[in-house]
Amino acid sequence: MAGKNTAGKQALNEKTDIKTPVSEMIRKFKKQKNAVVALFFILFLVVIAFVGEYLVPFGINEYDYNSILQGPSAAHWFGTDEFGRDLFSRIVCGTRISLAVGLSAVSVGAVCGTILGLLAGYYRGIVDSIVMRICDTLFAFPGIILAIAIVAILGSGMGNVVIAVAVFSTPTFARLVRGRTMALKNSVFVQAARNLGASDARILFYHILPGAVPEIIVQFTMSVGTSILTASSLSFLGMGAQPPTPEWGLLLSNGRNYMLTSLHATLFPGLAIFLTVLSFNILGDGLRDALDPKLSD
Amino acid sequence: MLRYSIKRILGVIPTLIIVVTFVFFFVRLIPGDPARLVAGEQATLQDVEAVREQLGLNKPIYVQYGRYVLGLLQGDLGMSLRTKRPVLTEVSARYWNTMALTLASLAWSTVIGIFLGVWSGKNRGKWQDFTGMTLAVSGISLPNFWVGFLLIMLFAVKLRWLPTTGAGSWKNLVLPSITLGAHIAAIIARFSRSSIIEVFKEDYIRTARAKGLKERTVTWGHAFRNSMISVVTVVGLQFGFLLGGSVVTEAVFAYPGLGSLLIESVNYRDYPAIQSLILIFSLQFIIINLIVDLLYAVLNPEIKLS
Amino acid sequence: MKKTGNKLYALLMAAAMVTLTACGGGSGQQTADTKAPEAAATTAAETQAAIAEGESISQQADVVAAVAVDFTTMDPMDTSDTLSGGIQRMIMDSLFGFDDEMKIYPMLATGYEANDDATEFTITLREGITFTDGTPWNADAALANFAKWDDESLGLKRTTFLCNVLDTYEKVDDYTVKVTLNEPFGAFISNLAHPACVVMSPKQIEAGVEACATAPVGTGQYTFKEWIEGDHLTLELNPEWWGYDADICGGTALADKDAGFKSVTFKPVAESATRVAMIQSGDAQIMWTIPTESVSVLESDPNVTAYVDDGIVVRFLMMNTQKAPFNDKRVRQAMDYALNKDAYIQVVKNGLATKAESVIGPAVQYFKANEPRPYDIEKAKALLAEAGYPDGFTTTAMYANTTANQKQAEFYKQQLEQVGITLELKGMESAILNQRIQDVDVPGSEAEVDTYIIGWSPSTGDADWGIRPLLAKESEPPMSYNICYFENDELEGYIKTGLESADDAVRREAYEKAQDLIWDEVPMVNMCVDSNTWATSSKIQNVKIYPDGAINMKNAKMVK
Repeated sequence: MAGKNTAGKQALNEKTDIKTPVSEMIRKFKKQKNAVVALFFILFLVVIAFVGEYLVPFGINEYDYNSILQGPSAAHWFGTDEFGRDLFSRIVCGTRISLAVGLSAVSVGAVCGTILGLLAGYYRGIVDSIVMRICDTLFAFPGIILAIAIVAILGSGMGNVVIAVAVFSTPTFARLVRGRTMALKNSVFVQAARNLGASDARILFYHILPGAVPEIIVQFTMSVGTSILTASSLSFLGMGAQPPTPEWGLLLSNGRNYMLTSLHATLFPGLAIFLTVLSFNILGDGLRDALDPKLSD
Repeated sequence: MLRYSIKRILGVIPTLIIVVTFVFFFVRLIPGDPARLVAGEQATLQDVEAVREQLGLNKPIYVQYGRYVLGLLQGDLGMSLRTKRPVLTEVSARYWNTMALTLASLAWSTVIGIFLGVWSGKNRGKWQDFTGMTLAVSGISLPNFWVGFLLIMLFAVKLRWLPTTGAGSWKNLVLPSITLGAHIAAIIARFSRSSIIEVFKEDYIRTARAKGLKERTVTWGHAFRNSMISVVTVVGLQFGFLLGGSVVTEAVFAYPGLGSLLIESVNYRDYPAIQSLILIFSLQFIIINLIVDLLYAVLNPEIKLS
Repeated sequence: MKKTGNKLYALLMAAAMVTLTACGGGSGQQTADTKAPEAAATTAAETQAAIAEGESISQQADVVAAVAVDFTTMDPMDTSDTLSGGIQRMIMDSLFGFDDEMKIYPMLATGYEANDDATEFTITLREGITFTDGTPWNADAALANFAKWDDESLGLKRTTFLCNVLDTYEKVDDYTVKVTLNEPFGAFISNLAHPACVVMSPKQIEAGVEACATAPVGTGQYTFKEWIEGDHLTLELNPEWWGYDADICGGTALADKDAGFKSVTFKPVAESATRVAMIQSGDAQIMWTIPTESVSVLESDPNVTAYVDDGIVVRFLMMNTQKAPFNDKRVRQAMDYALNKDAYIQVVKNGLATKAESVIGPAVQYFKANEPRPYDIEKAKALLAEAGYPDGFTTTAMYANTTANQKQAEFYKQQLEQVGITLELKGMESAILNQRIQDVDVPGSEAEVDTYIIGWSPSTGDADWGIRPLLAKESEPPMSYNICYFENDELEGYIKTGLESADDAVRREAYEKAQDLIWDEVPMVNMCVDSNTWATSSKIQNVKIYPDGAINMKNAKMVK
């Protein structure tokens, strides 16, 4: 009885001591000061994305032909654009769009990539060959070229930009998850689960996937920044967001014709993109530092 | 080594056949009628049909495919629909421009990137690390068309130090290579940093330090060489991407490279040109991967080639 | 901006002197003047004194011209863009050309005689001219060119331009050719002044279409030096050009002896902000077109002179007249009242355009001005209510998604909101737009398009090409550009009369009535006529852009 009790206690102790990959990651992450700042900035942006439109002084489509391209002032903190619209209001309201594009595109890419990676890594054989051959082909193209091809087929517009960006972020996730899956597949606890008769689906999603989550989170964070940049490049090429959407890339791209006379028209959208992408990148770096055992002290 | 190389090169052939076929049908999926685009604005249906016939676009698709493949086997990439010149002529002039820009961008960004990475990595957690990484990450956080325009405004218009556009002299390469390289430098810096941190934890570094070697010797003599193995892979990969031409940077600087040709070809639905460009991109990507693998083996003799 | 290329100016300008007077000044445009560019210069600071004869150093100067689009070919008969055509006109001369006043002017010909039916033309050729490859210019050379223009089998884009009318052409003597046409064609001589009909060396024609497309040889002021695909195209001065020789020209030389540049290098720079930077940094000495947003920047630059002049591109919003609600004339008129043209010109065009007074521009032959409908929201609302749309409606606008088109689209959306019309913007890549708008063979009522944003300039300078492709029943997609799906029997009659008659008075009456009818029916809201813009280094003079958008630098000069 007693012996059994002790064993139970020991097991309990062990359980509290064993850190899940995620909690371990959080502990180490807190040490990364700049990454924590970046995280708070991103959270701030998310809040802005939800409430921004109720706080802004002007409507996004509220034009005033008498105050076109005016510099920053008390009334217009970031100045006005080529239709006399308030740039501050447009940038604040554009937060939601730019974040949504980045987050949704990468989410789709992450989900597809993860599923493909799990299947390829777990079943190997023909599934693996097909998935990896496709990924290799997609890898061979710089992201922007792939995005152009996809937008050319589907037509321009935010929805299709999301699809395009999702397609080219998929292989990164697929490769990453495949690698993890192959490593975890032969681990003791997966073998044990299999011996206990767990289904393939259960093994994949309950036993293997959690092990890959930290890496997915890191890659996810990094990809969001890249996606926001890609979306803005597509806007520059006329294949991205359509006016009057206040997507940041579109604001930046429209402002370029006024760079000589009205620097504010590019400065503020440019800074918005820069700071957001920077935050995602710093956050991603911090997370990776916290996660990667090869980098830990 | 030689046998390995030959095997790798032969293994490329089936991939290329897939790429050629896939791309041929894929470009024809993109909506848009090249005959109408080539006939120009204000063309009537009669003009469009005449152009279609002249370009051979009225032939059944399998005939077009057969001709394309036969041409390829003879080294003929076909005729550009847009300019009616051989695609090979169009591509070759621009190819060297892209190559020059790629080399210029890679050269400085590799040096700066490795320096920043090593500097940050060996001072991990200190202010140097913070500064170095913030600098590097800034490089991948800026929209590059914005950077390009700002550089033009400053160095070409205000200071008049450098030309705005064009290709030919080293001066033409400065601004676009800064624009392109900022990205690459950041990626290389991140990799170098992780790599050097890993290496610093190795036993032989401890041994070297224990032997009382100068920190500088330890860093650059021992750690650096070993950390470069993974950096080579990254540089190689970036080299491959850059050789595809940068669509955005080339547009900003009106740089006559492959990226601007691709955009123009897509706009005109110039099928032979798009097909050839993608074929070239895939081919060089494969070749670079091969070279990287071989280099890897040279740098790290422990890896056995099988 | 799509559909604005190919402005081959003033095909029939010879007879159109009247229209020039009609369009001059009266538009209220602050800067426009069709005459000398000095007068049109928007930099008022220093009025440039003309460079005296012999003072110009231009013939020692290598200049760079930054242009908006890439060149496609150097074969005139295969050219469908204004830029390539403009460059070809510097290398090759035509039988007839246009002078600064847009009058028809004999170039390689000295004159012609036509029979009363306008089916037989006897053209006399100028003597003493050789091509830059040494081949003499004579009847044989002329016939070689006619043969090329007539050869449908070459499959060149512009072949339909002449091959349908040319019947026979023969040599009368060494300097006279006689051309017979299939049908009466009063505008034949004007057609010969079209840039597609510049004259190439017979040697080059013999060398085949590829030689013509890559290395043109003519009798012109410049010779072709090189064309590096995607990068630049360079021309060099031909100091032996016959146009410098007053004797050959028959009295007055076409250009002063010291005019023209040592070489001109054209660089395609699609990105307009970069193009502006090039002229500001001194990397280019000539550039066009200036994006309207940047004109004021260049005006304030002391090293650069910016020019603004009348163009012939009319901008409009086409409405699908076979689809509700635009099948109701009152709705279309309401749209016209609801769109503020003055604000449009100020906001979208930065003041660099004139209000449209017809479906064609003032410089186009047989132009007739109508009183623009005033901006009147109340009237628009009343008309909408009368038509059964008191609360407005929701519709879509399709357009090619260039920066300039997007700006227009946003403006339309903002304006129409005022009268309760919600305009959904559907901008797309032009290749896709073509497919969705032009490659459709269904009645207008089933077509996808509701409204369409487009600019148009008649590529022949004639009223016919400004009306027929846009509004004749035969021009509905997929045939041509009647995206309004406008069908009006009365208009068909006017178009037919204008096309078939060679009588100037009859044609004028027909086209004037047609323009009145269009103004009343409003198949499209006519917004403005674009101005042409260009800039040069302030050391350069006499570089102009014609209304059709082609460059003329015959008499270009430069000071130190």
